[in-house]
Amino acid sequence: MTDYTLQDPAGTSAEPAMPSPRDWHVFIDRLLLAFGSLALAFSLLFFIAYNWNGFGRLAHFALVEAALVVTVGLYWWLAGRHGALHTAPRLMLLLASLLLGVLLALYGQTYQTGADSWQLFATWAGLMLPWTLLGRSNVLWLAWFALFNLTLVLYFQAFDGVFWVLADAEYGLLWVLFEFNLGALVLWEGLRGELRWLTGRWGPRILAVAAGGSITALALLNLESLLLLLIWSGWLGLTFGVYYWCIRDLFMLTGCCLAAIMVIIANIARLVLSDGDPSALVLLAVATIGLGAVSGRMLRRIHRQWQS
Amino acid sequence: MTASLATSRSDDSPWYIKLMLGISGWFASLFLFGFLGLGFLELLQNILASLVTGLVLVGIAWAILRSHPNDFLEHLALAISLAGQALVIWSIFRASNAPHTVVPWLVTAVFQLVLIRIMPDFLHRVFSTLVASYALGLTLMLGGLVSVSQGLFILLTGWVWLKQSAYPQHGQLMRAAGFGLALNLISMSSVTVGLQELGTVMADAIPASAAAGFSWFTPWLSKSLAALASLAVVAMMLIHYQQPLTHKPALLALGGALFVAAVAFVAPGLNAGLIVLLMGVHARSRVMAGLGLIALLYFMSRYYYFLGETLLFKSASLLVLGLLMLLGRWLFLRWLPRTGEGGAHG
Repeated sequence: MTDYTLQDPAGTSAEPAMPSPRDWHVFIDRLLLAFGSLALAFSLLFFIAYNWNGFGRLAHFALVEAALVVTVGLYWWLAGRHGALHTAPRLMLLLASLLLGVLLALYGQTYQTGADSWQLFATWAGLMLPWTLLGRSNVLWLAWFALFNLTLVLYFQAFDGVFWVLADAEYGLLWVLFEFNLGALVLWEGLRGELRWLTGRWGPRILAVAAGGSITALALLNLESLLLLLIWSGWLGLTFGVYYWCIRDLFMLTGCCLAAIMVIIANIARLVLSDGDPSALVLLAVATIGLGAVSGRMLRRIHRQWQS
Repeated sequence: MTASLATSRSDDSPWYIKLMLGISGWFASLFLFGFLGLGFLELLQNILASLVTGLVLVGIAWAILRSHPNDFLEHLALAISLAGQALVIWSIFRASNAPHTVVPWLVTAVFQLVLIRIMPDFLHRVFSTLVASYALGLTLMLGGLVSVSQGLFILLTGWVWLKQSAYPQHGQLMRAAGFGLALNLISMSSVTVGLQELGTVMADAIPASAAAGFSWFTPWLSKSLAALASLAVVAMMLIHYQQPLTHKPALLALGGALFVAAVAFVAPGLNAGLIVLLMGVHARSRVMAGLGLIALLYFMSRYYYFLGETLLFKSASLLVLGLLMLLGRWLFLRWLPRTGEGGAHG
């Protein structure tokens, strides 16, 4: 069992130790590298988007492809020099993935393929996958998941999808986002023990927020549906149990509490606000405070218990 | 204030628990205020009655917070205080009868400053700092000093974060004020940038009545003061880290800050982002550092989004910027290898 809560800086302790010169050195080094590379990648993006007539079709492709080759070349060189898990080579793979998107957009723009935008993003995600597998980086994986989420959103905008198992026509997108991100979360947590580079908690936390946000939104939008309430409760109980007993992560437990407060208050509001009596608002206020206080007390007790 | 009062039980909990408590407290106060507004309409009509009720509510909240309350009472106090403050501020504006003047905003700012000082609660202090700095910013704007505000808030934010260790007896107050000021700095810079965009995009289209409020806004002055303030904060930081200002690490740090300040003349807001980021790293707060990083990226993208130049110009300027940053990194690693003594900031 791993305890991640302790690695979390509380962010509010009275007097934290000052960072060492080495900490500042690493910070400045990475900041300049990341912002500098990002500026160069966007410079190329704007140049392609400018679509300069004096610069032929072939030259456009040659430019993007050359940049792609140089970036991948830099990855090999940097990976050989510092090891593949160093920040610099991982950043190069991220840039190469960005350039891949530029290349696909240029292709679509030049040949007017008539493809929907979701197809562009789906192709992008597909072609980026090998690099993501190769890169062994949390950031790259999160970028990939974000890209795939975007693909799903665009796909549903185009089709109002009907192909999915649990996809109710009206709320299909929320269902699919829930299913996909939950799947990704389970995979991430499951492989965490096998893959040593899969460190840090931000990846699973973001995926959990995406999955939990979708299912909670569904529950809030369908307060009358008992089935949804049951599914939502199942998800909530399971998530809480896993992150309390198996993987200690207080962030996830806090998210569960917030989701529970929102759904419970929304249900109470539905019941008491219908007759338009303002004093029902006092009940809602007291219920919100009560639920918040109980959650806060419980979470802090767990926090202390894990710390000792 | 005694040390035991300066820290409450929620101080040692992670930021996301505070965020959850803040969200539920805020909703509860909305419900309470809705109840007061709907249930006692005549209360809102009478200025004196609403002022007194508001102050009594704030007083009750203060008394609860002082008495080491349990969790339920602590959050009840927060919600009561927020609803009470809404009533007080409502009365201040009703009494002044002129919302577009300095006085009501200044009174609001002073009221919130008193609350920051007396309310022994972290969340309450963050919230009051945020409201106080918004009110102060609007006071400056309506008083014709809007150009001063960004620089002033950069200085204030830097000072509060760097002076945390100097006032250990006010640890909670300083940290809460630091968070509130950082949130204010980013949101206020965003508004200032908006004013500048409005100024350039619709210079002729703004109606005279609305333009009167902005007539004191001088972009170059605002940007120069923000640049000076951000350099001053970096210098303060170097002194804090006991780096002689004439030595290499300090000169590099000031050079870096000068570079950002120069870029901020075309893309305003970057100074604010930089200071929040630096303070986040300094205080080892990932939330602050993340906020600063997001602000830097946001102000940069906003500049390019609103830039009335061709994409070719945007592309060339980013190329130069990217190369300068990578060159800067190369020089930095050459002049100050990691094993070397001393640290640099900026």
